[in-house]
Amino acid sequence: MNVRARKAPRREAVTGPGPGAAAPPAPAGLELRGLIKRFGGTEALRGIDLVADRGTFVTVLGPSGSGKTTILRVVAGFLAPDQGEVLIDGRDVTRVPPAARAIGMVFQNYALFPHMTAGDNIAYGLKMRRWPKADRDRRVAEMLELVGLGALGGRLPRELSGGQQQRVAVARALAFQPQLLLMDEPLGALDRELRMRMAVELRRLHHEAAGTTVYVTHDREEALTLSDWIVIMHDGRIDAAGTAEELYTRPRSAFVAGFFGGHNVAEAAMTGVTGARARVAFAGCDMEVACGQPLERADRVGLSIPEEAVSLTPAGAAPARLELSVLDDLYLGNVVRVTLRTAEGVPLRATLPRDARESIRHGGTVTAYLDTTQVTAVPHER
Amino acid sequence: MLGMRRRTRARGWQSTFSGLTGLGLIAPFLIAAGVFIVYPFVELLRTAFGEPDGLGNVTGFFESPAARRTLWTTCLTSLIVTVIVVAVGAVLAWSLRTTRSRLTRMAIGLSVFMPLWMGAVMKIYVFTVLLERFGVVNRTLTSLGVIDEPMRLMRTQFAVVAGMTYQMLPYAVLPLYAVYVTIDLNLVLAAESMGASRARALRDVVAPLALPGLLASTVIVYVICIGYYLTPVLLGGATAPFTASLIADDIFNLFEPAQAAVSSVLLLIVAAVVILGGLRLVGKERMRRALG
Repeated sequence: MNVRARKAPRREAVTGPGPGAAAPPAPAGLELRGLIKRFGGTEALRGIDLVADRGTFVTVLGPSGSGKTTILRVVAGFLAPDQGEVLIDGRDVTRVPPAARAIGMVFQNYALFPHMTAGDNIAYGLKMRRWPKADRDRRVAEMLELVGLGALGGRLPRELSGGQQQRVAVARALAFQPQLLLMDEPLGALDRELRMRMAVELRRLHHEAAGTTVYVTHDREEALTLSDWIVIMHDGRIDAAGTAEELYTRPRSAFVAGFFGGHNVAEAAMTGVTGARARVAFAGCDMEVACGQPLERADRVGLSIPEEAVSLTPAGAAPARLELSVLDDLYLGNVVRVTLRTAEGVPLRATLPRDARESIRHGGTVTAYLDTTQVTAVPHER
Repeated sequence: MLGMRRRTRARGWQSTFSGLTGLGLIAPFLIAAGVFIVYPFVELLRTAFGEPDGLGNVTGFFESPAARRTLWTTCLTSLIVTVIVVAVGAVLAWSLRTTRSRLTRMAIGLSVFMPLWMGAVMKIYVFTVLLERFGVVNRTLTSLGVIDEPMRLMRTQFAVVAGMTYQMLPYAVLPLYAVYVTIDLNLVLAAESMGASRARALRDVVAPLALPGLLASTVIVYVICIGYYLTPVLLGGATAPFTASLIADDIFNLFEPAQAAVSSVLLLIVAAVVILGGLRLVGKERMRRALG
């Protein structure tokens, strides 16, 4: 699929002059054209097309083995694609060595030079670019300040904590103001709390650096926190791409719905399809729902049902009334997470307000309403 | 009641034991070291500085031009071999570390381990076959028209260096490989992504991290080299007299145990100086890690 990642509209974009109608379109920060990469007999990338505007924070999300790290390595120049092109700010760099690509890279294990101090690590890229010593020193101090490590420039990596090492790695990658910042699961080695704090930090650094960022992760939460644009990889292909909101509210496929989380993926009978809407029969109710992508007429169809679409009171324009049995309930403090079951035996997870707990009896039945405007029909997958 | 008492251990199992138990456990080793290392060494020193001339034995060694020449040849040839072996070994070990090709890995592995599996005489015989007057090298070069007359390759210093280099290669490759595997290859990629060429990345990142390993293998190779006996005798003959053959001569032909002992002590001193120098350069801690 062909996708263009846009910068998420921000308030200043609305009040200020709109994105230039007269100005010629700026070259994309990163453009990938038909990338194919094989390892031995297996295809790690099977035709990747992607255009990301300059300044976009793009997250490549996918399970392990989906090809997301391969994309990053091809963009960085560590791997040559078998087919296709890589363009950074409009320049074809497919055959350019990594050193000449103006990229900053943050590795999963940071790859800090263990024999150099934090300051020397940050200065290395500047030295390679022949910055004069005075400028280098100034820039290193500036970067240390930016990542909040002011006084620690003289420490060796092993004398720093995991979070501090992570900051050095980011500072090192951003020091020479690369046009493109690549990050390969940079928060994977940190504990959960630190991870969320660093994610916010990375977002700030991305804005201050004003370059394009490609961020690879398998963590949905990180993807949601950070990205303007999320690309979901599946089996060497881009399965879906869009803003977090688009992907969440209208998943294209059962894979996206399942991978992105918060959705039930159920099976239903299709009774008709017209344009972007499908008529389906689910749990004894006929309903009309939106399609995640153009669908062919078929017997079976997948339904993506967000956990919040099920409630105990009618909601939305066309609520469907369901009689469900209660399998399990999980009290999470602010909400209750219940597992229900339709008469056909299809399990349905729902997130309900805390007070709903009183009307739910373990093993009993409950009358619930499904907000069909939130349901999306997706291709049926066996 | 007494008969019913269960047998119990006086103390539970412990992971540490008293100094006395420890001493008892290493006693066999201490005895072996005493018999096979300490006693012969003391005996060696007594012979070297004993009859016929005491300290004069040593000055006697240095007064003999032939003896001086063997010591010089031994040290110089070993140095040449060590430099070549460590340089080639560094490249081979790095290829072994970084290659993804199974074939390359097997080829390097085989060529490095082969000399370890072969006996010394076999290895030397291989070089005789290659280097003799009508051997493989000379015939190939003559038939290609590179040379008109077969060259003299056997019984030269070149033959000794070639033979020793081949035999010593594993001793450089193995410790270097052991150091290389501790180096994260992403470091090289990181340096390249920051604008370094491949060569520059290797110099700035791999070389400093591999330095203890390089020095360790230099020391190991050099110390083993100065003790070589068979290869210089069979491939070099009179052109490359090693101190080891001088020692053998003194013992078995000339019956001069004192001279043999002096030569041995001098070789020991060279080895000790090289090892201590290496330790000083790298630092004890890093050397210990490099040696495993």
